[in-house]
Amino acid sequence: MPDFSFAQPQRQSVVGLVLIFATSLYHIARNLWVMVIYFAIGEFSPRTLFLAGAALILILLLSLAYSILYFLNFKFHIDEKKEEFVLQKGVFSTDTINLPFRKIQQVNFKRNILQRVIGVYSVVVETAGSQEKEVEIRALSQEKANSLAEKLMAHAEEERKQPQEEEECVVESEDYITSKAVPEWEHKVSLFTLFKLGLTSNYLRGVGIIIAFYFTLREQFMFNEELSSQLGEPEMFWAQGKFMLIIFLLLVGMIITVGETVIKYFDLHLKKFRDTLQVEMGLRNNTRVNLRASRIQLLQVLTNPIQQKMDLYQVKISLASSENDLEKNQIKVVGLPPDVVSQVKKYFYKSSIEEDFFILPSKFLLWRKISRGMIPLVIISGLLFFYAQLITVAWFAAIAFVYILLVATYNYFYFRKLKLGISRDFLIKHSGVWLQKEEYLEMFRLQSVSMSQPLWYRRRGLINLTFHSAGGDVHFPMVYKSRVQPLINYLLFKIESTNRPWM
Amino acid sequence: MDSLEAERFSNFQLEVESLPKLEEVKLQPISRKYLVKLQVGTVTSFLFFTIGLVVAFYFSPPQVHKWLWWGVAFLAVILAWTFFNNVMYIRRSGYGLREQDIIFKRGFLFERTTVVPFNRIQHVSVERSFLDKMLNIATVKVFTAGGSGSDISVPGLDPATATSVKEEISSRIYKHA
Repeated sequence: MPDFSFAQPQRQSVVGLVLIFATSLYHIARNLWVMVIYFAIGEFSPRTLFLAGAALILILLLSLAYSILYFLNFKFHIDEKKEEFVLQKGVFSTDTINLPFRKIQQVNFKRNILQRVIGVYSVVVETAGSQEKEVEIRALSQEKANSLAEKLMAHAEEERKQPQEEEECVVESEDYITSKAVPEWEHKVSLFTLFKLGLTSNYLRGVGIIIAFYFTLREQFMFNEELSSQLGEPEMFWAQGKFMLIIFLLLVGMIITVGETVIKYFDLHLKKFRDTLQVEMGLRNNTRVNLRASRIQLLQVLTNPIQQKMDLYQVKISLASSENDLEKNQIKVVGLPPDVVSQVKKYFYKSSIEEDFFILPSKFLLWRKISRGMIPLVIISGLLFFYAQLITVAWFAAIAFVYILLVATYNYFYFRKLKLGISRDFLIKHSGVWLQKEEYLEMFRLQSVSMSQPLWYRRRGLINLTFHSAGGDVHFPMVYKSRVQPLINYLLFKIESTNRPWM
Repeated sequence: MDSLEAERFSNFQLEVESLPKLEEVKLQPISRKYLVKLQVGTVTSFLFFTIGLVVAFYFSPPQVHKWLWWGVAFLAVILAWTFFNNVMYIRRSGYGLREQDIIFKRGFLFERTTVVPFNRIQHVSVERSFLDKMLNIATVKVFTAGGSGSDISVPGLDPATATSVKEEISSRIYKHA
C-alpha cells in the first residue's frame, strides 16, 4: 500500500470536480423540475423560450464556476504538531475547521452511485463534540481514503490511550498493520436473505411512503390546475371499490418495502478485525463503518416471530452522539443468524451475558394499559347513545367484545414480555409483543439515572425508571420503589467506582 | 470444561447493605424566592389570555358573551391550579450533593429525581436571568452526554451557593478526568 503523507494542505482527487458539479446540477434540477415540465407542456412564444434557455445556460455556467472555485478552495491536512485535522473550504467566505485528534470518534466511508462510477470514496469524520458538524471529504481515491482513515484513527486512539498505559500502545501499533488485513471472522448477508427480510417486515411503512409521495406530487402540481386535472381524479379509484384499492396499496407497499430493504442493506458485509468490526452496506449509498467495542453505548437486538423462525435478527448499535439527534448515530445491521448476533455481542462485551435476576413491572401496569385501551370504547358508546339508530345493540356488543378481547390479549402479552434483566455488569430490557426487542446497557456506561413518580403512583409506592446513556434513554415503567432502590444504589456505585472511560 | 461452567454459573446478589443509600440523603430545599419567579411567569402568561378575552368582549356580539364568561371561569380555575402547583413544586423540589454525585428532585404532579455522577458530567454553568438578578437567585446547570433528559438545572439557589456548588462540581470533574 503506498504511503501518503497528509502533512501538506491538499485538494481532493481531480474527479472530485465532476462530483461537485454533478451535485450542484442535481440541486438545480431538483428545484427547477416543475419549471421544466411547465415549459415543456405549455405553449410559449419563441422569445420567451429563448430567454428561458439563456437563463438556464447562465445558471449552468455560474454553477460550473462555483464548483471549480469550491474544488480549488477545498483543502485538508493533518497537523501533527498541533495534533489536529484541518479542513479549509468555502467560496465566498473561507471556513476553516480544526478537529483535535482526541475529538475524533469514528472515520467512516460512504459512496453514492456517482462516486462509485467515478471511483472515489467519501471520508466522513465524526466527532464527539456537539458544536462542530461532521466533516466530509467527498472525493478521495481508495488508497488515499484508506490511508487517511487509518492515520486519523491511529491518532485518535493514541490520544485516548496516552493517559493510561503507554507500553501497551506500542505493542498494539506493531500488530496493527498485520492484523488489519485478514478478518478474524466475517459474515455476508445474501440477496435472498434481504428478500425474505423485506417480505416479513412491516408493509405499513411502504404504504406510508406511497401516501406521502402522492401528497408531495399533488402539492407540486397544486398551482397548475390544468395539470392536476389531467393526472386523474382519485375519486375514480374510490368508485371502483375500496377493497381493491387497499389490496393494491398493500401490494405496492410490499414491493416498496422489499425494494427499500434491498437497496439499503445491499451486500451487507460484516468483518471482524482484531480491534474493530467493519460494517459495509448499501446500493445507492454505500457506507463502511468501523466499530470499536469501546464506543458502543447501547446495543439492541430485534426480531419478530416470523423472522425468528427464519433466523433473521436485527442488531442496532448506538454510539455516543451529539445531543439532539440520538437516531443519527445508530447503525442498523439486519438479517443476522443468532450465532452471528452472539459473536457480535461477544466482541463488544467480551464475556457472555447471563441475567442473574429479573425485575418485573407491577401488575397495575397491566390494569392501567387495559383500562386506557377502553377509553375509545367508552367514548364511542357514549356517542351511540345519541345516535342509537346507527347500529343494533347486538352488533355493538359483538364488536365491543372482540375489541376488549384484542386489547386485553395484546396488553397481556406486552406485560408478560416486559422485564428488566440484571447481571453483574449489564441491564437488559426485554420488550415487545410483535417486534421483540432486547436492549443491552453496560452499567458503567450510563450517564445518569432518573426516577419519576406521578402523584397517583405515590400511594402504591411505584416509580418509572429512566436510564440515560450517551446512545439514548431506556425507560422501564411501574416498579416498586422499595424493590428497585437497591438496584439504583448499585448502578450508581458501578458508575462512580470505575475509572474506565465510557467513550 | 468444569471451570467454564463454574464461571458461567453465578448467583450474584446485590450487596446492597454496604452500598451508600440514595434514599437516606437529606435534600436541600430550593429558595422561596424562586416561587416569586414562578408566580411572576404564570401571571405574565395569563395576562396575555386576559387581554385576548377583553378584546374578544369588545368585538364580539352579545350572544357570545355567555361563552366568554365560561372562558373566564376556566381561565380562573387553571390560574388557581397553576399557583397551587407552583407552591407545591417549590415545597417538593430539592437538591443534594454527595461525594460522588448530585441529586435533583423536582415536580409535584410528576415528581422526577435525577442522579448524575460527577464522573459523567461534561460541564457545569451558573445562569442568572434578569429576574434572577432582581430576586438575587441563580440557576446551576449540569450537562451530561446523555441527552437533554439527563441534564439537570437546579433553580432558586443563593448566588454564592450556586457559585460554590459549581466550583465544587468542576473541581470534582477534573479530579476524575
